[in-house]
Amino acid sequence: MNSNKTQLFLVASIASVMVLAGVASEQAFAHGGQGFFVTLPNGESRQITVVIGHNNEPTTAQETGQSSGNHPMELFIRDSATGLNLADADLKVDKYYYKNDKKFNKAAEKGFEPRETDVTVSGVHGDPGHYFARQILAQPGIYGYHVTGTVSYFGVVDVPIDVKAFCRDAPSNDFTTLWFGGFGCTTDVDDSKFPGKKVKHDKDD
Amino acid sequence: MTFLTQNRISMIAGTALLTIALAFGGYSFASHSFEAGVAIGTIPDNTHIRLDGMTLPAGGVFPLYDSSPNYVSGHFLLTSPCEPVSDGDDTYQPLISAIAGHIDEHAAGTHMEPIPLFYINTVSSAPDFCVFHAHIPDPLNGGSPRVTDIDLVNLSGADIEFKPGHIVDINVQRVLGSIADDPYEDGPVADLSRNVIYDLNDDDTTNDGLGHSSQ
Repeated sequence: MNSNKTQLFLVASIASVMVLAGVASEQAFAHGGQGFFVTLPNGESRQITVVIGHNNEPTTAQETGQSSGNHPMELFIRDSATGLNLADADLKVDKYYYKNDKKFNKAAEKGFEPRETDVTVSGVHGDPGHYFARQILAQPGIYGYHVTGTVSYFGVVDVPIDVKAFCRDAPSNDFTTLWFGGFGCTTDVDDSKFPGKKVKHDKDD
Repeated sequence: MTFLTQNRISMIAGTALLTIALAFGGYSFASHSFEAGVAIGTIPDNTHIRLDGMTLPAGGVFPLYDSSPNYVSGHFLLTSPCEPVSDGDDTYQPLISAIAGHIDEHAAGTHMEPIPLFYINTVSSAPDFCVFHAHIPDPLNGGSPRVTDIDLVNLSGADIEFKPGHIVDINVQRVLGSIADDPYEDGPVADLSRNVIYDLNDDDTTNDGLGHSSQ
């Protein structure tokens, strides 16, 4: 009898993992990007594309037992015309956070101040052109990044990089420098629950 | 509990653990992998084409490779009869021309340019047998940025006769994207000039090109 229960439990475990894996694979890839022009020693021009976002979007803040909040800021850097990855970069990031639109707008009047500065941006091992600033997103809200440094254009030219972006749902601002797209702001994991906290029930229930 | 029942539970437990590992292990441990040569989008693909016995007439085209709709990166090797780039030059160019880019069913989407070639004098025996290397694509020295098609074309004005040892080898190492997502839109472009030749091993530094590589 006990062995039957054990088998049932294990089969249920397999089914649960398969369902969760399927959900995880449907996560959207929402990032924004900006171009930078390169002049080669022979005078010819090239362009590189820097794509910025959070890893494993959509992002939810850390919540014990529900969400790890493990969403590094990530960059993809490539040659625009060929799509070849650029694997050699020296980059830092200043990080910004505001709890809500009200605090964001208040900060916008005074000038945005980073919460952390000169955080190292490292290459992802075995994945050239992909870079992480590892972090746990602790709170839901508006996150922003200012990435600076240089990217080596195939060992020939060091290209200065300067990318500034707040997440897509932040109030209108002149901070963000992206040419296209954007990345999502971080939500509370409870926000996506259905039915939510405010569901009204009939008296009969 | 019988021996058979015990085995069945072990088997199910093992399957459960394997399923969990496959579902989450790849993500958890991917950044610690040292197997950098295997990545999503990589295809190990080598095409070796013997040219011996073929005579390509003036203006003739010999298609070598077509990876449409994927544009790819890789390495190109050509051994061919050759001639000096200019009179008295110790750098040689192939009699045949190698072009790459994308040939589309819509003319506007067609874009072909000569491949920048590096002459490898150390393993060449001009004028009968010259070796040339190229990087596909070569963002530093030019040529088409997105390559789905590679062809030989005879721009010499006379027949070219290939002999034993004349070959093309194309090694495609990675898919960079889909030409459907990043099409050429300025076509038709068909640059039918001879290949630009670089030579790192002569005294002339003006023909070294950019991004010297030992690959």
